[in-house]
Amino acid sequence: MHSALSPNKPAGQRLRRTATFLRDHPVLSASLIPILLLIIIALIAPLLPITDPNRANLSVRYLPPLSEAYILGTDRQGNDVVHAERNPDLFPSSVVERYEPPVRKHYVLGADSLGRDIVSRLIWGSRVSLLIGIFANVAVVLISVFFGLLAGYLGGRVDGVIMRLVDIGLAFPGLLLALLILTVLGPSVINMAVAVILSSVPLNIRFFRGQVLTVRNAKYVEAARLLGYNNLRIMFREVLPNVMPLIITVTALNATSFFIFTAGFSLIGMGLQPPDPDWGTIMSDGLRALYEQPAVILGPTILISILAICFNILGDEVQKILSPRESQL
Amino acid sequence: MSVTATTEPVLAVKDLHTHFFTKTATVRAVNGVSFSIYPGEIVGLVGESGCGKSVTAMSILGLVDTPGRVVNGTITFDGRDMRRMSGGQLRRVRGHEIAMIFQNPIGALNPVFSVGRQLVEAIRTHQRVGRREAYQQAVGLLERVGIPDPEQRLPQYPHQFSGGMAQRVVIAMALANRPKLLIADEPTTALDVTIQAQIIDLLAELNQEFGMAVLHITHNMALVAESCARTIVMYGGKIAESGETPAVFDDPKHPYTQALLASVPDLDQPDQAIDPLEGFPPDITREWPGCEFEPRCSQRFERCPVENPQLREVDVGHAVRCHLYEAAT
Repeated sequence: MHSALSPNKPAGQRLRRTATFLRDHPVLSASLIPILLLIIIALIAPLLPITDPNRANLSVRYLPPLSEAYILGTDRQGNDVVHAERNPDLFPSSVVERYEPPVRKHYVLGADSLGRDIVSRLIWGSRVSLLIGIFANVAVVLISVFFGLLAGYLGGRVDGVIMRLVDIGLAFPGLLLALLILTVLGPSVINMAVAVILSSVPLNIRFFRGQVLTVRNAKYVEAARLLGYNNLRIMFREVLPNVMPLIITVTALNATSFFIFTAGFSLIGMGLQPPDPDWGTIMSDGLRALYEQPAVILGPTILISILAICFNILGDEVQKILSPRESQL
Repeated sequence: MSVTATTEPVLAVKDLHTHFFTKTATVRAVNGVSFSIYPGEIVGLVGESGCGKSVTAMSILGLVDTPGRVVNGTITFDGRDMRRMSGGQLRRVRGHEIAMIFQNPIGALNPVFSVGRQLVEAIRTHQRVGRREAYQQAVGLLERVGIPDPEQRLPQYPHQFSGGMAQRVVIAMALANRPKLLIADEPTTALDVTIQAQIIDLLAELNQEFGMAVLHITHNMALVAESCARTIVMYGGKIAESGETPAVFDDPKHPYTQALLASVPDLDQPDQAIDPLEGFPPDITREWPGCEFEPRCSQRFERCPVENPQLREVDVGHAVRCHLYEAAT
């Protein structure tokens, strides 16, 4: 906090301080790496040398992981024609321009029911999943913290109105409410985000309000009123920082459940529509092929698990660091 | 400092009634309290728990929370009617012209911000100064309240301070804007005896130096005897007795004051049995037809349960609310 009192440091020094900070908190850094890596890969997906995620090649249906196939040539539309064998006799008639010799193509995670490259689908699919998982999360936290603060700090009628609305929201099970919203609005990325936000905001408001209630009765809040601070200032400068640990924990938990939520929507066909990839549609595809090619479902499940674990660890670590008591002892 | 008729009181409370309206009963926490505090004066407000001392203080600052409400009376501070002030005007008075400190100094500081930041904010809320100047002022204030190495201590967090040191910080925050009146609500109750003495001495020094009036709320008779020029004894939401401290202590008029003083162990006569006050504080949820102290009073007579005594001056500046002295005047 000393930085609040001292003038701004030059950028180089700040970078060095960040580096020291990361070295001093190895667990935090370790949990950050997979998250940042996934975000970066999702961002630069169009620049990566991967095939079109929607390009079907029925001849490589359910190709096992770590196998190879051959690009024999291109068809009339200029798309690659891929075949599991390099035998020229198998050349489909659609091939217009032959490659001689055929180009080798690696399928690290194999191919799905339509012979689409799973790596490519996972990468393109992570854009949708991360977008919703992160942006819905930010929206949920902003909305719920705001209303939680209002309800908990101001109390009285404001509290009454907000909490009755929350009760109405909580009367529906979260997933049911989300499905209801998706059914009414129709499946799309934005509607998925809306469904996730609306179905999880009520519970979050209740969490934050509860925490605000315990903080608002603290002596330092009374002391702040005695110092002549106004309500808005006390809410955001005195109460909010003390609710921060809970906000971080809840955000980490939300991130995990939102990935699962969005994947779930797509899995049951209420989310993204085929052939567009996200982790849910890949899973739903893999679920159908569980006996023929179990590897298809592995990719998204492993990624979701890694993210879930990393976000939880990250939440715990940040919470520890933010607590002045723990960070200084 | 003795009371002179020519100076205007810095605070004049007249016939203050603060009641709490619960579903089952009306709690008359403060029920007709009048007193004045003159510039530069230290006034002790004593009484047992629940007699309305703290509610009186909160009423002065306009910080009585629902279901409580100031139902009657006038509070004139520095010639202005506090009860007619808007929220904004009240906030400009709080922490600026009237400051307050209380028990549990560590709880009065926000645990997530450094002490320096909290001091700087308290200063900048009421003064138009830059960060740097506020920081310089903070250093000076900590030095003044007797904290060694202020520059070292400012970036530290409240949990790194001992109770006595934290109370000094809180006093520094209260002094930051040179208030005309400091309300100290049991400022030493949570501290051990040697620290108590230091804090009381500090308050006395600051009272001399800045000429601010102090309203010292406590249940510790010894502290009042030592440091306050005038003493007000409260019982059951009303003033039982008030006067110059030597008069009240050497010649207590009200049976309650007498009983309070008798229940304090006397160091000069350690073998003498102390005489505790029997019974419980009055039930202030009902309006008493007679004197609230009557059930516990050793000198009660026929008039006491039926007629409510009025506060009467029995000597110059020495007032008592008891039927025993009505004939005398």
